[in-house]
Amino acid sequence: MPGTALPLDLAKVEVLPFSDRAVYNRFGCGKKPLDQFLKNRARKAVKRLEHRVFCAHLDSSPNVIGYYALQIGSDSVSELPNANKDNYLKNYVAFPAIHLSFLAVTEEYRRQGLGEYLLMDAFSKVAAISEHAGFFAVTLQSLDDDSTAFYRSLGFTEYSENLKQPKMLYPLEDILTLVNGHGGEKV
Amino acid sequence: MQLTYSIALFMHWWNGLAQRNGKLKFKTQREAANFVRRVHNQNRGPNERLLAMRRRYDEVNRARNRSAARLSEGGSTAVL
Repeated sequence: MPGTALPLDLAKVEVLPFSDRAVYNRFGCGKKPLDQFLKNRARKAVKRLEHRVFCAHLDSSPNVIGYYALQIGSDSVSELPNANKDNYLKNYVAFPAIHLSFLAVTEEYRRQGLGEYLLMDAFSKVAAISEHAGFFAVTLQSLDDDSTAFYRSLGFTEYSENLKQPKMLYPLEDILTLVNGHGGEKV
Repeated sequence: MQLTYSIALFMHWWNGLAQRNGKLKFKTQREAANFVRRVHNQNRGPNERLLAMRRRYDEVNRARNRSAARLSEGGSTAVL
């Protein structure tokens, strides 16, 4: 029943990759775009390999109580006007990052640390990816003022201008410090 | 009066355009790298809130692993 808080023991939560066996249509976090993605678009997005979606389940139940989606992103940045187009090494035009496209918790289990647990789980995966590919940061586009304030309180910084739903980033080096106890290799 | 209206109209159009385009605070990958490095230096590592979140995450996972180990021991005993 949406709106009724249920007690949650995080030790009984399992985070599993998106699966056809899971039940998604009961998920409701109160934010339409986040519900819509999981119910209507996630299956196709996973099939097309556009996103990796990870879902939280309680006590091996097929019901999804939270989820997040990751995507390897590259925000286009305009080319340097005087760039030497023949210099292969200097034509940097992209901003490589891992994009946290979605993160949501169903209403019954909100305010019990599941969202934070999922964010930490996502950070662990980001740290693992960084061993195989180079990128600068984790990025996200904040949905509303509440989420902007939340991510800002964690140290995320806005890198877009004049957007109602600002783009925010958190440096990979800080994630590695958090996950591994030390930052990236210093060269 | 007409000029003020024109300026307001232009600003409205310009802000709308900026909204749609979502201009970034850097123009090249080099600038992006510098921007991220500045954020990293300002943050001076993960803040207390994030560190607390990580501690809770690790504690939960340790508790889960202990519980899984107990279940697995119980299972072996039953088989024996």
